[in-house]
Amino acid sequence: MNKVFKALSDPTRRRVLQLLRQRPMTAGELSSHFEISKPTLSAHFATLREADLIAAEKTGTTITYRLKMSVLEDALLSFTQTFGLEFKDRTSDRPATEPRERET
Amino acid sequence: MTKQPALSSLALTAMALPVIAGAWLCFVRPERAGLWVLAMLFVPAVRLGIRTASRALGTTRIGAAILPARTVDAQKMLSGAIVVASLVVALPLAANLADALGLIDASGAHAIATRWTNVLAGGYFVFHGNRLPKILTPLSGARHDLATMQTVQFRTGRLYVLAGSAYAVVWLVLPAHLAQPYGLAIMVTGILVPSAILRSYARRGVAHPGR
Repeated sequence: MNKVFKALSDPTRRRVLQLLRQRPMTAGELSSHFEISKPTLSAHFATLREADLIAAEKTGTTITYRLKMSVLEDALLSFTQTFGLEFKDRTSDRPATEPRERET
Repeated sequence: MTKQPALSSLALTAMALPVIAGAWLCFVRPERAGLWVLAMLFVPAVRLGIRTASRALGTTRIGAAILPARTVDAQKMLSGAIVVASLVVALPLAANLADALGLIDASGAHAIATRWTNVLAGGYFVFHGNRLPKILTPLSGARHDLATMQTVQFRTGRLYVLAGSAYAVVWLVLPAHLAQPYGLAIMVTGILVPSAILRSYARRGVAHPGR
């Protein structure tokens, strides 16, 4: 359970889970929603996989990520969003308080 | 053939409970020894059956394709099911044992066994519902679009969790004569509503419903 809390504590990882709630996505599709480098994003994916919150499936050269959350873990994610921890997509209205996550 | 991970130590411990209670009852109430032996060996026999079946399935082409992706999750589900099944069998045995040892009377033993067996059944529904969205179909084997499948799994899981919780609470707080009809109504609803959801998605085919 510690791994789950650790995974949910980061806004980027929560955003990844939010995006995967809509549908399974490839690594490329997911990365287009973030301004962070691909290695950093891969590290986030690894943390989520370690917590067993997402699953990855490789088809040729494409890796598709999909949600693998229990009902309780989903409720925990909703809980963090309810308390104003939700971060909006960079392509939509970005809250002024959102930290920039660009890496060099 | 896929090597399956071992059952959790909790499941193995739980499996021992009915065996111990049953063996003890064989000594204190030998006139019903056949029943006690049947009860104490029920869960290990089912476990053996599942193990044999999954090994046989692992040798087939389809089984070999499906099992590696699902083995760990399936084993977790199996461990949970074994814990609950063992407790469900062990509880009435323990109540009978308490009755035989003069700790409680027969009606008390029956009431305790009925109430806690039903609470456990509700708990199992919650456990199963909670883990339901974690069971993933391999992408290559998916017959419907994955967004729909994901939505259906989450909705079904939530309904199972709600129904199981309500069932357990009803059996915990209400008197037995009220808990029985209300519990039954909750369980029937908890099974029928997810079935209706599944059927509606199956009829609609590919769709992208919101969660």
